Amino acid sequence: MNRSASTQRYWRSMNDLEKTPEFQDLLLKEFPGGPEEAWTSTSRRGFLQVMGASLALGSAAACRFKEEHILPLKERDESRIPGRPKFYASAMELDGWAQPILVACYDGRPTKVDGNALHAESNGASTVWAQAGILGLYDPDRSRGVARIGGGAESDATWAEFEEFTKSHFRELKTRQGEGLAVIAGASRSPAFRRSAAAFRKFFPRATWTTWESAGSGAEEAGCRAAFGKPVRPRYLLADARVIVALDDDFLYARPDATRLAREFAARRKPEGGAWMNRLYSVEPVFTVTGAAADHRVPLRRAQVGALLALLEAGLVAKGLRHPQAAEVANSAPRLDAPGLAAHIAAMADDLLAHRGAAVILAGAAQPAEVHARAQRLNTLLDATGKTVEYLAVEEPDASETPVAALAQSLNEGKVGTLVVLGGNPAYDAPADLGLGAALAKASVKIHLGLYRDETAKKCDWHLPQAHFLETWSDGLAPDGSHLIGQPMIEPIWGGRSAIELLSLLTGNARAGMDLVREGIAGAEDAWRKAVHDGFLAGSAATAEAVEPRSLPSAVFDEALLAAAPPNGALELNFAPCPKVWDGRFANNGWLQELPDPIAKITWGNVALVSYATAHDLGIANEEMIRVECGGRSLEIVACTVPGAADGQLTMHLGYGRRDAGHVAGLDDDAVEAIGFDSYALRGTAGLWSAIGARVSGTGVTYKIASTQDHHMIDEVGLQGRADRVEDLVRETGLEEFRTGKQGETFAKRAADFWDKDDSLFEEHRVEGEYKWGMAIDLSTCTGCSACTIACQAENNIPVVGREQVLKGREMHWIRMDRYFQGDAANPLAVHQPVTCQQCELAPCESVCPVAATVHSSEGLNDMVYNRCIGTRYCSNNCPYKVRRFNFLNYRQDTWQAGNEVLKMAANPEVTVRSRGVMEKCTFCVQRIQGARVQSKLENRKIGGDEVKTACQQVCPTQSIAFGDLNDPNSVVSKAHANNRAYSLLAELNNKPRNRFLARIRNPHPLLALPMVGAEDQHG
Amino acid sequence: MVGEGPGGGSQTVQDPRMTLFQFPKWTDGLRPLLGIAAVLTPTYIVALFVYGASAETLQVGYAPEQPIPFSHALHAGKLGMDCRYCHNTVESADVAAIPALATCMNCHKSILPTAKISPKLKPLHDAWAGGQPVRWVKVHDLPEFTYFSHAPHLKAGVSCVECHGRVDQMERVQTVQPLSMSWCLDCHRNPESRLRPREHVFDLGWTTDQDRNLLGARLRQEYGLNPRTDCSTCHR
Repeated sequence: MNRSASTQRYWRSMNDLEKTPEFQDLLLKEFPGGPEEAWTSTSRRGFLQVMGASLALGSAAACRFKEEHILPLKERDESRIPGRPKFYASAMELDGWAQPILVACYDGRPTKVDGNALHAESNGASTVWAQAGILGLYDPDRSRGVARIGGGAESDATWAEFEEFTKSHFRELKTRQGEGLAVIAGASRSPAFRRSAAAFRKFFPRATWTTWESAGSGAEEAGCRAAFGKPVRPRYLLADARVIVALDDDFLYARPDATRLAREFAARRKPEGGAWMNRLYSVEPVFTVTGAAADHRVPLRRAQVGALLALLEAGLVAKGLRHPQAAEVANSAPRLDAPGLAAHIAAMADDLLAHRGAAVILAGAAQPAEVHARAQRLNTLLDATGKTVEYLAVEEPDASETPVAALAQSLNEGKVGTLVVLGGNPAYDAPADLGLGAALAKASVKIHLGLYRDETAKKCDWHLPQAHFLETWSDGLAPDGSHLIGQPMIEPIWGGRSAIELLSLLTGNARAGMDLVREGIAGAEDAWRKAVHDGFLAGSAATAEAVEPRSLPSAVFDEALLAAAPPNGALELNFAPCPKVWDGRFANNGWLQELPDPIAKITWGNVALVSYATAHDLGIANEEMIRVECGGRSLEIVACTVPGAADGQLTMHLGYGRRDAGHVAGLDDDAVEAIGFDSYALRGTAGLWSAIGARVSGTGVTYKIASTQDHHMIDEVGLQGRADRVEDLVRETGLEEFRTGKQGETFAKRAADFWDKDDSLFEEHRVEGEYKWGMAIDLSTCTGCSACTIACQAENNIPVVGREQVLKGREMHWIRMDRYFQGDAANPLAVHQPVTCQQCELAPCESVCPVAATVHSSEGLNDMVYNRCIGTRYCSNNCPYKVRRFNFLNYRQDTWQAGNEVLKMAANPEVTVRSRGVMEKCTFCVQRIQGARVQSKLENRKIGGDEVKTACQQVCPTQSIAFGDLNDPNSVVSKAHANNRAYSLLAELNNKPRNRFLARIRNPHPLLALPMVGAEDQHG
Repeated sequence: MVGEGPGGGSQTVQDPRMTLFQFPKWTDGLRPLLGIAAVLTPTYIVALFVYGASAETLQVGYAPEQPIPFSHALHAGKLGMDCRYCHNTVESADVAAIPALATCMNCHKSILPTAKISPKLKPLHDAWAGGQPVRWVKVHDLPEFTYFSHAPHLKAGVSCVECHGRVDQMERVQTVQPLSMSWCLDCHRNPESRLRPREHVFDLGWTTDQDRNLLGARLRQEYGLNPRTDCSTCHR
């Protein structure tokens, strides 16, 4: 590919690097394909006719206020104040593990989910799925009641009818001890669920139980069993880890305890005051959040990761690590060719040995058990046990459970009379070679419990609405082993019931969810109430087990799999749960569909991620539809060339191409086209995470990928100017340069950062208020997880615009996560930068508004007044950071459609809901500032310097965002602004933004050069 | 211009600039009405704006009929009940909540709508028995893009009477102030004449011999008041 000569260090995409025509288009027009094109087909006369008619018909009714009504409660207790939120602790389960959350409820309905600060797993932060959970609760496409499904028709039924049916049917089954009864459920470590399942299986001893979790993997626990001979799982402690090696493990994002791991990792990324920094090596097939945060990254195919571990082990033995199987390890080291690999392995080995006891190796869920076993054994040999990793006991895998393949076989052989599906969507996400969807039809009676009438429901006889986690009592196990309690925030909107309630019903002993959960808490009422209040049972965290490494069989490698450039037909096909919709369960969640994924910034769909070299070899282009064949199955999907991908492989995210998800993700019944491509169609039992033997052929058809990576850029003139003045948007350097370089700790400062307001040529009139709000974002700790984007969307009623509008650059996120690459396109460095409204003291947007709809408050906020805005968009035109969002259409229209009233409940009542034609932007969560102000007035005090937490700040797992009062010299944000690493974006424009960024510091190994310009090249 | 056309016959070729102003033939009949339209159209537009801008709910004196004919003059005035007995959240929350039906029943479970007492009480007991909420009509209605919080105003010494008038003398609640943005700003810029000592905030009939402005100035300093006029104070 061509690299145009450019003085620009950072680039956002290949379009940017090559200055393609598409890129120029986006650069010159903030909203490409805009209204200019729409008018060419209408004549001037036609325009006047339309305008004239609407003026005459224009009724002034919209100007008049209608009567409003107040409906007070019949009985209201003193603690319930209308309009005041109440906060309740709860738990949210994903893939078997639960997160502690705190839910804000207004007037009896939950509106915002955050982390439960009382519990160490979250410390107040939460994941994108917890944030988006609210929209899932109020999804109008959720199943609204019991249904009988048959012959392609659905007819509504009631729980009473179902209970009537179960009485006779399951009583009959009981006489046969449950012969012919099969249950398939998701993996859940919830104690109540385990108890219910055990009771059910005891009641029906001959029934079969199948656990199927499409994004779950038992490899880590299997590896530990092999390595230690006892059932344990690792729990990583990164607080004191100096060297971290992540082998295909996106631990900063995708692990159940990612929130805690990210926090611990980030705590050691701040080099102030001589504090030590950790060093992260990441080996992965495509860029992930962890890879972007890593100091060194090696792109390798999934099959090659095990070989790298073997080479690393051999390298450690060669450098003197005492190893019980040293000779075997040295002899079985494979041959692996990859650019720079030997140097990286040498550096890793050097680092791991130099920091024994403070180093750790992690392996990801997609790696086979052998790799996990070897990695854990190496951890114990490196004295990591008890220091950077501990091992917690788990249950032995239940040998009496029926694997999903056996269940499919039983179904096909007609041995299953009654099938119960407890949540989950096996017809959609079970391995394609099992044909579970078709096999389901062979059971005589099929009962489905689910949130939606999805692909599986359509194949069943009875569909039962499931209660959402915010509607029901539940419990769960947190990754640290503690017992979490989930309480309902609202009555089940559609009369749903939870899985544990259904199981108790089927055994003829229907019990309420609360009783089933209560059983798990020993002790009196006080202990129970405290557990419910806190959200967890204090002191229930698991304690570490002692482990001894066992000898492992030698690793055997298929040299063909390790070849540098596998030909077409032998390509590696990798699957990964989507960073947004996970395994497809969140596909109908508009917020998650529209969230740009952290690396490729793709929205509304999935792609086949492939490297530039491989795409070139295969003869396929970016955004070209390709046909992928593997294992006798095929799929047409769009190819997307990305930097940093390993050669010879394609990676696809799961969870798309759904046909019965809902009006957001795809609904055949209503001719709603499916979003994305169903990668499950290619996924077979043999290669659940990685399959070999894929063949790719181009189709020549172009498919536009809705990616936001080139949106909202600084324009061409600005780019040139910047390159000339070397004022970079993202400033970073290595730790050595930071400590001992020419400019040392002030490397991030440029001339403009030293300007003071007294240097101004003209008199700046600013009103100073009691508080001076400011924000600081630390790029060294930000991992780019984008939880801030979703939290802001939930808090501020930001609309979802859909794929077509995203293609025009009209996504509405108030805080966007910019991602820049640096260096060689085959393996670049990546850095993330969240950009909000900079709340400039001399805002360019304020001076150009013709109606004064955006004015400066006395406390430094740039106020956006929606009711004054007439939509000239001059403010957005003038904003150099492009942080203003315009409501081109009435994006709330779907809320007013019949049947969608429940969507209105998701809105935060503290923030105005905007309609068509008004500009909006980040307000530094002014509603929270106002709330704190009212509280402070009632209590006769000032607002504390750190008291107000913006939504983005609250959710950030690494606590990268600091917000508060700059007038208070002790607040976190004041200290951040005074930090040597602090700089403003485009300071030379003299906007005086109240938001500062702290430059990113990387910690490369002295032996490895980073493709980064050193500090000496920066002049300021 | 006249020229030879393709069919051999002569045809008139129009100056292209003239075709822009050719109206369809059927509009000829409308020409006499042009004069009338010239007079009526501006009248219509003005009437439209006057009608649109004069929402009934925004007029001073708006006194809608309520489902239960509750009389503040009787309860707050004659019986001397404190505002906060029913509007109990006003000092700590944004809204001075309309009380729950149970608050009414605290007394009215003993005061029944017999012919002797009052037939007006019947809707109250019907509502309590029926279990449906009472649909009170909102009298002091601010637009939804405006956020107002009662608690800090009361804490500052602004009495109910300043905005709501002598509610304790109203048979039916009506608005006495425009509640417009300029009216709010007038007080925010010059609160002195509207302030009173905190202990008298709920004493709607309170008067004083002192000069209100001087008293207000003193209270402003004592309470440390600095009412903001930033847009984000109310609009978010």
